[in-house]
Amino acid sequence: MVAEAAESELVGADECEVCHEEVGGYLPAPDYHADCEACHGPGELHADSEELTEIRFPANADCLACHETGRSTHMAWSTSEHERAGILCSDCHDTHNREPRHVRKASALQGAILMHARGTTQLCTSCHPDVAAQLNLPSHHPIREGMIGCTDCHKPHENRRVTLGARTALCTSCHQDHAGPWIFEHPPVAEDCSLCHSPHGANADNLLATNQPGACIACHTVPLGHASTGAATRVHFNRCTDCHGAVHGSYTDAVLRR
Amino acid sequence: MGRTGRISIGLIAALLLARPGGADEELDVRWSATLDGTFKVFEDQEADDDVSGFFDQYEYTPNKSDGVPFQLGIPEASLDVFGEGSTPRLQVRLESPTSNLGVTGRDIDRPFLNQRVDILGRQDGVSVDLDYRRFRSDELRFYPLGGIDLTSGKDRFYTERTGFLGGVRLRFEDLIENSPEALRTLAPELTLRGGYQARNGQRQLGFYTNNFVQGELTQELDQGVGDVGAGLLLAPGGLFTMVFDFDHQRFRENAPAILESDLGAPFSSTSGTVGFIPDTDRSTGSIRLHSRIGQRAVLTGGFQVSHLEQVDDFTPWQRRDGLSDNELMYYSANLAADVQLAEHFSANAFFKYDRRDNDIQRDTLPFNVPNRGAPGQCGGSGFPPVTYCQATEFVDRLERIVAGLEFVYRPISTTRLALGARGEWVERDLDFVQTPTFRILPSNALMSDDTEMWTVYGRARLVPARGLGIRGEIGYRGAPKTGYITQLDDYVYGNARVTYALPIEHPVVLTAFGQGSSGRNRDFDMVDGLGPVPTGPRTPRDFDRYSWMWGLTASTSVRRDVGLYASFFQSRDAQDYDLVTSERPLLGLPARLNGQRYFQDADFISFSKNDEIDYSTDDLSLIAGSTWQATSQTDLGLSYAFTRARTTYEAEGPTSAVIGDLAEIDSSIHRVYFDVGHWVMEGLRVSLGYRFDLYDDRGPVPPNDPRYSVQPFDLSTTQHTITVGVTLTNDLFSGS
Repeated sequence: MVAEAAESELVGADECEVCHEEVGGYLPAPDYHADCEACHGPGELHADSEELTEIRFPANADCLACHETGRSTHMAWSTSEHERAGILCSDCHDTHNREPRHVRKASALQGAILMHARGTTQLCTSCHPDVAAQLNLPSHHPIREGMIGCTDCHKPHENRRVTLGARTALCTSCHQDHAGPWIFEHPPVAEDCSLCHSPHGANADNLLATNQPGACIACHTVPLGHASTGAATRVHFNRCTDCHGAVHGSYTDAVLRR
Repeated sequence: MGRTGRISIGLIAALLLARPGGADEELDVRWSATLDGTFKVFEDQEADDDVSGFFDQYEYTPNKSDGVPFQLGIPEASLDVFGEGSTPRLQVRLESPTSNLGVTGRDIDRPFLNQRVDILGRQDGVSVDLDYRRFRSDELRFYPLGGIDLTSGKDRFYTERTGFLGGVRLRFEDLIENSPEALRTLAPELTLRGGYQARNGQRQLGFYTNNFVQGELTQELDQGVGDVGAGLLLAPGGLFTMVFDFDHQRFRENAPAILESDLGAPFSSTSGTVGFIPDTDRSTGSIRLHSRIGQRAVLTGGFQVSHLEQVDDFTPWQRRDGLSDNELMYYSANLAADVQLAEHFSANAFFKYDRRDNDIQRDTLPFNVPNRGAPGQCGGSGFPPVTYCQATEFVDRLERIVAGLEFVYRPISTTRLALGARGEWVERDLDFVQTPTFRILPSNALMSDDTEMWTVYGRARLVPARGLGIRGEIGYRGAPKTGYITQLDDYVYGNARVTYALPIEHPVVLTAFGQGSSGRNRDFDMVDGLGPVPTGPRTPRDFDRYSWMWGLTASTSVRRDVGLYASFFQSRDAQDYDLVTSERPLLGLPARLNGQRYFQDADFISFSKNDEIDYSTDDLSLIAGSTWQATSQTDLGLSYAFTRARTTYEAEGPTSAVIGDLAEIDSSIHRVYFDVGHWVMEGLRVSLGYRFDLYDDRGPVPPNDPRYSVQPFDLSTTQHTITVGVTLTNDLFSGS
């Protein structure tokens, strides 16, 4: 813990810049972040001694003092999973830089693992390496290619367990044609897309967590009979969706075949 | 493209022209842009423009059929405009994974495919956020040999998405000079948002008709998604924050519906559709609340209602029978709190309630006995019975509660120890069909009407020594009731992540992580007997699953100018489950293989274990590379990445003939990347890159069949990409 700087006095940002001409290659910081002592606390003792222990390194509370109340984007941070995991705002944001939303630059390692991914995606995977590996599997959302990023689906400032809306809402916000409402619906589709799909990456096509026919027969057990009826050419019907093409739901067929 | 492009330019202009500092205010513009030329060389099947290769799913390449496909593009660009002070007034970021500002060949008229632009603007009290995207994704063709191919020889199915989503945020207290006290007290913020996305392309669709014909066709997609919304935030006196939001989404599929009769002989039904995609409207309203109660507690909560309705376009069958009141209602509420109990102790809790009501007209044709006409003829004349009868369980209403409570001990800032529990309760109001002879009975349903699961866990985050960080969680889940057979009971899991920075001259940062889980389901079985409540012996359907993964990453600087890194990952997911079938034949198919659940009202059905399936997925990836800052102007990078993905099935009974080799996956992806860049002068950088991609598909390829106009092919592909780039920044012209 750094020493409490309460006994120190304010010296002003100009005094800070005498030594800190730049911070991480950036200065001046944007106006709203230019008052160093607003986040680091009074700097008199540190300016005199130049000791690290004489200045405060901002905690989340310093950021939330401005960014929580009256801000829709951070109002759920204090009850989020990231907060409870001890993540600091500065783990992901560099308030001194000038990138949009002050997102911190990812490390060279993450840049290499997901070479063409967006910077935010690279940054997220520095703490979620298992997800980074899944993004490299044969079937994946075009995340590693940079066409979408983690924050297109995830809200890092909220607790995903309690985010308002149905479990299917996130997926169907892009895949509206899988949202229904169907006349005949496949019950898991109505409940939770992840019952069948692995959104970060999978070996099987279409992000299926289990390759067909396993994705289907683990529940249904029945359809394999179709394929072993003596018609030799049907041996390739190991994809249930070859016939049950309307697997998410149908307006015509109770067993989702068109 | 044109429309959204003009909107973007208009917003930029508006922001730049609005100068609060006065007409004489100096604008400081900083920018950079990279222009590159890309040459590709393909081997194998991907070299055909009309074929979706493996890599096209993610990185569409135009003009593959050219001898050396060439693209000219702007892969990245940035623009920052500063007014007085140091706050960026406007920021623009462009990223284009596969630029084609100019290309050879027939794709020359389709520039800027696969790109994204973020525009952020900020003035006093006003902020603008605009996200423009255009990208394309291909789907790999499938080959269901044995049916009718109506894809017209197509071997390329893709969807292009072009659209924008943006918003304007107005903070009135900053916007209005000398704003009144009441306004400052409420601190209102108004957000207006909107967007539109157009999607065009095709998809390959498999189908099966009532006259027992299987086929696949090309379905055209012409979709538009429009969004408008508004939000109002109030923070009265800083006591709490309250946000009201309303959003409306309009989804339209403009491509005509495909009727079976459109497909030609032997299809004739003018009522049945294939792959019908409805037009829908979705309206969502919500209220969210946040309050910090003193320094010890924080509370967040909210409530949301959403309505999804099919509109405008209905199938012939729906029109005939008035089945046009087809809608879903969603309700959602949440609450989360964090309370500091004592100096080192705190507690947090969350609660969420979801409800989904399927408001389809239940008194109409497919669901209600009186409307069915003759037994087994629920669709009436022209509507074959199997097709138009609801046969399976139907989720009329779904309610879910998830909740959790966690106690935290935090003796010092770097140590956090927590014990917690969370539960999930789901109640499904399942509607089973009333008509005998062809229906699922509750006793043999594939899902149950309740889920009850609870989890207890311990979680820790420690820094036991300088440079060493440990975090992990271990837990157990019991599930007195499961909704699906794949939901696991007696489920144990654990995960850990350790980071260690070796305190040596050239620090090595090591990160190791791993997780594992195991569980089973014993809730589902099939019941022998006759009638709606069979009482015979039960044949269990056991499901077991375990999974694990582990990985290691390492990075170091062997010299000040040389960095090395490596990452390894391995995982396994294994499932064992029973196939239980009956002896009841269906549609002329052999006994024990079909129709086991549907006829128990009419026949005595007995079930038995037909087979036992072992399924496993094994993945492995390795990445290694190096960076070298050769001089202050020159940098080099080299990396190699390898991914191996395998999926295997094992079955001992009759199933083995069906899901043997053809359902297995064995593929490898290799990627080598080298690049060198050199700053020729301040503001001018040149770069050269080479990328080698190899997709090696060792999975089985279906045999050629003369009935197909497009024959199955091996997806294995090799591509070489050479990129020459020039990066310019404003420093080049600053005269410094």
